[in-house]
Amino acid sequence: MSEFNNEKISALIDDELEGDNTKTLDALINTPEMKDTWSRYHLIGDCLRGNLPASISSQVSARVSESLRDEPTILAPTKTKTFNLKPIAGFAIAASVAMVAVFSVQRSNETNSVSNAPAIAAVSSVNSVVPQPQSFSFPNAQVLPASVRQSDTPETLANQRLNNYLMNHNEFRSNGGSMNGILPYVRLVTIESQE
Amino acid sequence: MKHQLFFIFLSLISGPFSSAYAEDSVPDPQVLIDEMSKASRDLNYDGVFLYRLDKQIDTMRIIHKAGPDGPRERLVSLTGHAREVIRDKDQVRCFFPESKAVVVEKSRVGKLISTYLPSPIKSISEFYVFELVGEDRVAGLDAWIINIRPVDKYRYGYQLWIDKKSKLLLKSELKNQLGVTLEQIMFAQLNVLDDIDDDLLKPSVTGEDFVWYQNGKDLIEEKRESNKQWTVTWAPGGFTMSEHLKEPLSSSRMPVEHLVYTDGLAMVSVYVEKLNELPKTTAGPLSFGGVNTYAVYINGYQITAVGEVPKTTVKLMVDSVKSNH
Repeated sequence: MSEFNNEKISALIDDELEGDNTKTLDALINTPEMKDTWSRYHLIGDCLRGNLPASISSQVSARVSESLRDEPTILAPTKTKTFNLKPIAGFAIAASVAMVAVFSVQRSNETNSVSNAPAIAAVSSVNSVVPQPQSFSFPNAQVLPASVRQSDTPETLANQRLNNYLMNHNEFRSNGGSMNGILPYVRLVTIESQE
Repeated sequence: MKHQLFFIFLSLISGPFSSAYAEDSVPDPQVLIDEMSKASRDLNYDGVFLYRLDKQIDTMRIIHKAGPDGPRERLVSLTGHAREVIRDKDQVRCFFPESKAVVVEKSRVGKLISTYLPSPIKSISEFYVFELVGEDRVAGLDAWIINIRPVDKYRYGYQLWIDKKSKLLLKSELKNQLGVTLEQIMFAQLNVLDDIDDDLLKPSVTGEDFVWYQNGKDLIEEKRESNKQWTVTWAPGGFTMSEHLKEPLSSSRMPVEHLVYTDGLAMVSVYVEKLNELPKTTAGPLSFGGVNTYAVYINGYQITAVGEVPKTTVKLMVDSVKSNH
């Protein structure tokens, strides 16, 4: 494998790859060596950031593929305006750990993240085995009226409903189980509202 | 025997320190977790911690005051928006200064996990392996490290750092099956205090010009089984229903049926709500750090599960929901 490709992978990881990445990404899926390189670069990055788990399996990629086979594939129900879901959804099926990172990089350019959210979560169906991108974002509607306003769109209402569930769950959470207290609220406080 | 082995292990890895540690009694991990729960409820403390989710790190201050009416707490975000959460026995108030809003939720402080749970919870240790894996220093304090590893793929694992002296939680990590950390909390400073000034538990904003929103204002606990229409027919082993409520919630005026399941560590809420119109979003899975949600729409109802469990678990639970009628 050429250095040229390694550089591209590195640039991808650092979110510095300019222009159309489709070819690089295609190559990444189709070449085992590139997948390994990708894994290695991420391992290096994780190591530098101190994110390493106590033990690492060199077979992560294989195990993810395995777990993906077991995982029901939920493809995104809606297409979104700002990017074409197709290649990304293709990714989800074949992807290794790192794909989610690619996705979150792409997503960071998204403005319309509310309507994209289900698609994102579906694509990152490996997320039970990788660090998850922050695919859940609270829109400004996060602070929710207790009564329905006429102007509320169904979309806003749906988000409000979920927000309320999360908040309500937190309160149960903080009294249940063995790890009680205010810590469940930590999530609430840090949730980024979409400006 | 296990403890002896642990000592041998310690002396192997820690060399010159081994003799010092051998003087300490090595605690049982589950006992230590019980003590941690008690300490975080019964002590007065004031601390600053970091919260890491994905690439984002935030800093927060927590002030906790124990009292006869149950604990009172104030959580303040020190980074980003100056959000605050204040919790006492009656209510939880969440201040969002950037939106000039306060959301009030009924507090469940002191309300024990109820009636539905066989007591004690069917041995947690059947579904998690508890291990004391070492020692560390966090926020300048000596800590035990405890690993809680799930035995199946339906729950997450935890790694906890517990202060040897106060038994307070100093650091915690939520981990998926591969041991990858999904969320992390770590104290940078933590002081246990004899008393805490009540002023410290007051919000820094008055909320005068804020809009106040009330959630779950009239909590109705439906005692009659006939009003409970829904059943979750599958949950991972060890998960038991701890609550089954019908309460008005959120943007709907209709009461929401709420079923809470716990295995003693993880907790999943299942909400069933009748909808007047079909929503445009939030079907399918979503995740936020260690919290996964999954929603479906069936016959005019939205069924949603929310919990600190893998996506598979919330999905399977939602798919198993059946109407009693």
